[in-house]
Amino acid sequence: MNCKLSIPHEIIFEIFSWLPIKSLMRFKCVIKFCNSLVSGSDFSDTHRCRSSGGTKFFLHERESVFYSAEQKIEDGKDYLQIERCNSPASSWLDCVNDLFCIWGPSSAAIFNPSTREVRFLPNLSEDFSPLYYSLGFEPEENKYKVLLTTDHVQKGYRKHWVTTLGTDKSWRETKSSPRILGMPGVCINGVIYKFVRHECKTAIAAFDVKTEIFRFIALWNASDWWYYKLIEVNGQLAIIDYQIYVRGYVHLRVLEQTEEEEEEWESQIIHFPLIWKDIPEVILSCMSCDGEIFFMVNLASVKYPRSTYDEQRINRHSDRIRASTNNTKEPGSLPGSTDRDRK
Amino acid sequence: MASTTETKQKKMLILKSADNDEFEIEESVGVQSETIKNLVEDGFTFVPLPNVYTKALIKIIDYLKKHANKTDSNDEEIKTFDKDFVNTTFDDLFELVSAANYLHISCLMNMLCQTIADRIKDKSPEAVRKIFHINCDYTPEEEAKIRKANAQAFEGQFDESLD
Repeated sequence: MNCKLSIPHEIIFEIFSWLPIKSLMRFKCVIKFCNSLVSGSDFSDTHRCRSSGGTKFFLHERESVFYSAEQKIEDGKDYLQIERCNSPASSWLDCVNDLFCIWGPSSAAIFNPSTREVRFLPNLSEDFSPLYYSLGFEPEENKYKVLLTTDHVQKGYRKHWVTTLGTDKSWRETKSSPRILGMPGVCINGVIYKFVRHECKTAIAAFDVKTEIFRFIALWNASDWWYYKLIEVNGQLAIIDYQIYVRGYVHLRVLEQTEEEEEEWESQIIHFPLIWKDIPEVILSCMSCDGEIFFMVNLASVKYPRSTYDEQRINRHSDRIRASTNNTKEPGSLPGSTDRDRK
Repeated sequence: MASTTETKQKKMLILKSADNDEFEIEESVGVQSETIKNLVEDGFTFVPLPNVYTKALIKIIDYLKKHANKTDSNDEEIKTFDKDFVNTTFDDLFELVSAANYLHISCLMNMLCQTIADRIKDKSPEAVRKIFHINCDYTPEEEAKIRKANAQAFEGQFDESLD
């Protein structure tokens, strides 16, 4: 029996919220309450705020090579530690917040890298072949949903399905079915953005996670979309257009709201450090986090084919490049102004 | 007992512990506790604390006095004070944390919880049960299942000590 003072659950919550993940996983078997505590969403939110560092970035190539990057502080210096993740062959991945959806040809699962928990998504009937899973987060109701695009090659159409994590046991079909392309999208403020073929052009489909309704956003130029990457910049949708990276810069286009309630793509240029200028095929992947844009670069691509480049070199050279505008050219050094500065 | 100070002297409060000891402190020191602050705003100057025992209350008053006089120059001094403050047994820490929770002193609460977390983080689940004075409510099968599901967290050696 509890011979001395018994510690209220709210205090266990507070104490546990300061523990590292590995201890939390181990202490799940202390008592049943600890197990349910650690799995709860209130607890994960508090824990995420209180834990310093942690996996912040997840970089992925178009194929199945993933890297996680962890921001660490040691001796007052902060640096990024990048680790290669072993993923199952030919798997794909989509992420929002700290949660990942990972899938192969036959099954899909939600993966939480901090807790290393995996939950499988409902199965689909066999005649549908899954094309792409997109993970969405709806902040108002604090719900995660997965948008699945399936391909029906013989019949020549695509369908879309939604499931709510934690409540739904199956998939439900969406009302409309635009021709979403099987490329990574991005989820910003409860809206999943994906490339789509719409009225014979490439455009962006915006899927509202709450209402489950699609709307379409036109591109400034619908022909070179293969080199576009959707990212978030300060809560706005943006596209990195890196087909011309050989020349030492990329275009960043941010979808701005005009005063007439219309949307417009505003173009900016991000310059790369001069030391990268002679390296062909630089960018493997990019993503944004906390107002900064991160590029993963391949500095060994001259000698090595794409899939077997030297990982060590990447670890050493993955510099942070901050988004800078046209007028802050500083030859020989990293561009200085960040997205946050510009605000 | 409860006397409102009309003079220009510092406003004082009386705190009464669960074992009926009374402590007089300055209002400005006391209001670092949200619980006391709310009572003071309602006009109370006598504050009974039925959940806080004398031993913990003395330590907490020390803490509040020290932190009420926080300036830029005594930063180091406060750090040393805090370090000594948490250098005690788990049972004392739990008593303090319960008191800090009841009194809603968030900076103290965070410091105590961080200290406890830091001291248990490398311990085994068995040691944590003993430290928290809780009995396992799993069946051996259920516990084995949880351990298996989190096998990675059980790799290596853990600290079995209870201090």
